[in-house]
Amino acid sequence: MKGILRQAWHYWGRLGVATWLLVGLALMTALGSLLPQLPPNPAAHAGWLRAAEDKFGPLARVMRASGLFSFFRSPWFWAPAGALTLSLFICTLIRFRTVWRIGTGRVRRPTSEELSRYRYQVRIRTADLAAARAVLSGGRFRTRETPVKGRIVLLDERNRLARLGTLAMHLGLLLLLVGATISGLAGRRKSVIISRPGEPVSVGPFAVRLDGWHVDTYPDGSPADYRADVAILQDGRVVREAPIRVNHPGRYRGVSLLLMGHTPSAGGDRVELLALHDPGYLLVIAAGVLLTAGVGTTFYLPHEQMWAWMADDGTMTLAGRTTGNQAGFARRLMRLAERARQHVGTDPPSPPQADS
Amino acid sequence: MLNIGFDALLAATLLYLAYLAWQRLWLGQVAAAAAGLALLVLAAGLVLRGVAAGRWPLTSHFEFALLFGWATLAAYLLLERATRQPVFGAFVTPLAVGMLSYALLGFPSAERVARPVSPVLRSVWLEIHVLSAALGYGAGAVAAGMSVLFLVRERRPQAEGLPAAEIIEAATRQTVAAGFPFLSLALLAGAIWAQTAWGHYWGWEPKECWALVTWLVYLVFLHGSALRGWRGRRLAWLALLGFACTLMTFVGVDWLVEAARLESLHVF
Repeated sequence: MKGILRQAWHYWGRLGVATWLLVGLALMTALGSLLPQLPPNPAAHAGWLRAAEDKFGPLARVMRASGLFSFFRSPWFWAPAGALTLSLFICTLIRFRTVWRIGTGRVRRPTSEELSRYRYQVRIRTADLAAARAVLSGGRFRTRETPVKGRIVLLDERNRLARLGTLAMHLGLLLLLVGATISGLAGRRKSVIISRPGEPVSVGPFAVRLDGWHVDTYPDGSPADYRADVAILQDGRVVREAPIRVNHPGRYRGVSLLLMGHTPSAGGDRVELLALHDPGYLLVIAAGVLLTAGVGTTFYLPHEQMWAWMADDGTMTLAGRTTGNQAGFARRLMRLAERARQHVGTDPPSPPQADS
Repeated sequence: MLNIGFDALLAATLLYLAYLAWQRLWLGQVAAAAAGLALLVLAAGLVLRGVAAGRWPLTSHFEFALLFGWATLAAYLLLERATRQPVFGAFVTPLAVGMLSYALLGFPSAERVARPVSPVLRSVWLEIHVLSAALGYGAGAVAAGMSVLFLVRERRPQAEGLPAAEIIEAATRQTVAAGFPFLSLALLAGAIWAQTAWGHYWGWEPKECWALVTWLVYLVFLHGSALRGWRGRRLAWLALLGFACTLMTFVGVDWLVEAARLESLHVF
């Protein structure tokens, strides 16, 4: 049993599984975009379903029963989304220690056997430490030196911190799914119609009162901005007076008040507000910031490691790896090797070996 | 002004194609100069439009098409500056020409007039959303052009004057990697705007769905290439698929909403 669980754990943590789940999620999203979806307001469902029956006939019942009209809340969509969340979670846990160690600079020196398995490597006949140091530290990057039983290892790195972007990206995706779930489960929306200015209307924990209505216009007479002057009342007492404009909601005790519509009428202006409580929203936005920063650093600033290994037999091995452009990295490795050759005056280096 | 910019871009495209055919250095240099001129003139045209309308020119479908074409050209010129490969222009600038042709010829003159925007479109988050999307899509268009070049290169390995396949592939990856954060920022800023305007940061509307599909395709591209070692044709076809999804998000969704009689708030 333990063996099966371990196998399942490692299967779900595989990069290939995550990649194909992303493909699956993209396909399901594309499919969902083709299906008409129930409006968010439950009060409008009955009329919408009647219209759907007119449009699809008997098929409408089947579509409704199978969840296709609420596709993005149905198992059709949440199964791949949930599987992806699980995969991301396991993938992050499996790789966390390694990525954190690399990102924070606690890199374990590879053994000569491990170096020999690196994708790109060049061997140069020299034991001149000064040459290796000059080659590797001649650039913009810090070089660290580790003596090991008479042999010397030098390390040159680029974009080490960017490896932490991977963690930020995965954490961002997980937080995004958590935030969206919180929004779905704990979010509350209530339409508030104020048809009589000056009279308080209950929103739930407090009441709102419309004290004024303004429309700014462009020179051609079209509306430029709407503004509702709203007073917020708690236990009959005004606790806040705030103008609410389109795109500029008012806020009180975790509830946002959005201006949604306005209908002029003979009895006064009829204003529609939306009272919104969404505890998942800030988490989703924080996740989006993490995700954006994570993808920027992970994919645009690839981590590169270059090792110089001074062996007892009078050869220096330059070996490196990158998470980014392999061809560009191979070219840089050749340039480094060429610089090393110029320092020590040996034969031209052989082209890099791509052995994996 | 916009028409002059378009003419300069058309000239640049013809010169890049001439460079591809005859491989004369001066042709590449003149093409790059013409493309740079087109970029400046189009930018000036957009700025003048913004000044005339008293707002950023980022709200209508027509304006986004202009911006998309401009961003494609800007992303391409940055790539050419980094790679010194004018031959890329022969495969990328036709896409910018296509987008600007769509903008300048595909809209009736009434829709091209700079009008004041409705209150819901007056938001800094919308401006960030649109600008980021244009830059991300522009990078995607460049990657698509490069992928066509890659596939041509693969079919004709002996063709003279074309860069090595690995150089083309590296440039494609760099372009997608550079554009992807902008696509992410576009989704983020769009979500913030939707929350303040409509009260939901994500509504699973067709436009939003396809923006997410586009983002996921490019994420698969980057994930596959950086971590799973995907190379060659698979990456090229993925970049083309990403661009096809981009076009679906931009123009196809409007058609889909109309054809399937779906509901959408993304109609401006």
